[in-house]
Amino acid sequence: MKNRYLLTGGILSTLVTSVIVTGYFWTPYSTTAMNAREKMQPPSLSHWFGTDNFGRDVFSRVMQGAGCSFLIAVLVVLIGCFAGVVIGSLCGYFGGTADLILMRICDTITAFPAILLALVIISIAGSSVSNIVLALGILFIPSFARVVRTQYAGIRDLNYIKAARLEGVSVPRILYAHILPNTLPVLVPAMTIGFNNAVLAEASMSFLGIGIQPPMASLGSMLKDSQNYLTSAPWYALGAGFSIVLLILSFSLLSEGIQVSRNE
Amino acid sequence: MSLLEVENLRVHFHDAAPDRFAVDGVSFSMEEGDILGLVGESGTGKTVTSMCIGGLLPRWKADTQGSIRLDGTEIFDCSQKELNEILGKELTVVFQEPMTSFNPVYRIGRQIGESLYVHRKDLSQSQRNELILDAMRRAGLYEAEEISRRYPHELSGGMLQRAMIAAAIVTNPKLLIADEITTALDVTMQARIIDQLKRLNRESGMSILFISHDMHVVNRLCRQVIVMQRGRIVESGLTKEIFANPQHEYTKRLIAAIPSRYSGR
Repeated sequence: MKNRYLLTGGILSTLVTSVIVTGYFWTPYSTTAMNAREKMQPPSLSHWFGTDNFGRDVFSRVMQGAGCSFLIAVLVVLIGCFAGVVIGSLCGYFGGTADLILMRICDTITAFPAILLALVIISIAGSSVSNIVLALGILFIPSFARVVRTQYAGIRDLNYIKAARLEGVSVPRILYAHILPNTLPVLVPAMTIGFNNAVLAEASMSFLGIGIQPPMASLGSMLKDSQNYLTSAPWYALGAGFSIVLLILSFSLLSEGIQVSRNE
Repeated sequence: MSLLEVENLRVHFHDAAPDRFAVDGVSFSMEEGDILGLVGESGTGKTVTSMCIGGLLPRWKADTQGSIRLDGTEIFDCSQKELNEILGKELTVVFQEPMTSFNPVYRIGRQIGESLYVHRKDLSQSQRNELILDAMRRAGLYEAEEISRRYPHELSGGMLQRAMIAAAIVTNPKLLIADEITTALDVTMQARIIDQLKRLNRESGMSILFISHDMHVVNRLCRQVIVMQRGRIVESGLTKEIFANPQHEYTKRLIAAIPSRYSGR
């Protein structure tokens, strides 16, 4: 068996995760200290991704920014997934009017561009990391709720659930011990896709200036700043853009690889 | 007092015609330790009757009238919580489709022990394991330890059917409802399952409500039989007598449908 997805995805995501985890504790240079003499240096052995317009090391800032995006994306997925599973399981298992209403609310949220809604929430609640996480988390609930609901609506009528009901198993136990593990083949890909979307959403928000605020590094705001120097210092934009791509690509490949190996 | 008393049970599905009842005034009773056969062709309301006894018919799907008393408890008056106390402990149900009746993500042993986990929280894990293995052996799965570690897709239909029976007898219920459990099996397996049911009935005094359309199987297993047609009971009595002297035209046809070595000559 040769599973190239799993192999490349595994290697890339291990690499990315180790760089990110290192970035929480140590970066080659300070991510905020400015250095006028080192401004706009091209990539070299001492500055792998070069330096930016303030003379800060791009690689160090990418490490911190990716770490920030990673943490936000994970939290967003956890919030969205948890709430989505609760809502989706109740809607799918019981059905009825409440299901109808909740699903239409989900449709409404999905119909809105996520960034626009996040912008509204942020401008009301103020821009902070916890608000970004909360806003994106809420916006990610419908995608999970819908997937989970479909699964529950299908599985609740299967014989083994009927059998569990006939054994006197309580509803919460049926919902989360009997049905939930059977939704994992769908839920896990939904989580990885959600993770990718969350990374992109956070980057877009920072790009638009409503996400992570300077001087904290963020992949999105780095992309925005680098726009002005695209011709004079292309490594700045490349470093930030490349790391967004790598972050998403590695985890997509990993989840693809896991799915392929499951089907074999 | 009888173990199970069904009185004037009527079931009407909301999407059916107003005068069309899936079960139309069925009454019967069962003594403790009895094996009662419920026969009739497909769609006569046998399974609906058993679903009513298990309290499984959702109210938004069907109206039910009449009374079902299990050991003196009125099923229709029970809340879901009270019903959960009875189900799996006093009353267990085995269905006809063994292949889909097990959760694919858990090992067989754990699933057989689910009703123990729910109803006998006082037992330790090892005591539960003992009961699980014992139930599996009583249901005819002799390599119990080996099989309990398998996943459902690793077992054959016949083994799963016996595992279903093991799951149903692990709590030593008073009444076992067996809904068409031999239908999907080959004749050898049918014979083995019938023998096991008979032994369970003899050894632990478990009452069995055996639902089937196969008169031959019913004849081998049940002391008493009820014949249903279109939601109504058309004939009931001791199996011996009904087979010797069927009164109703429908019963005669059902008995004639048993394949025989001599038919067609």
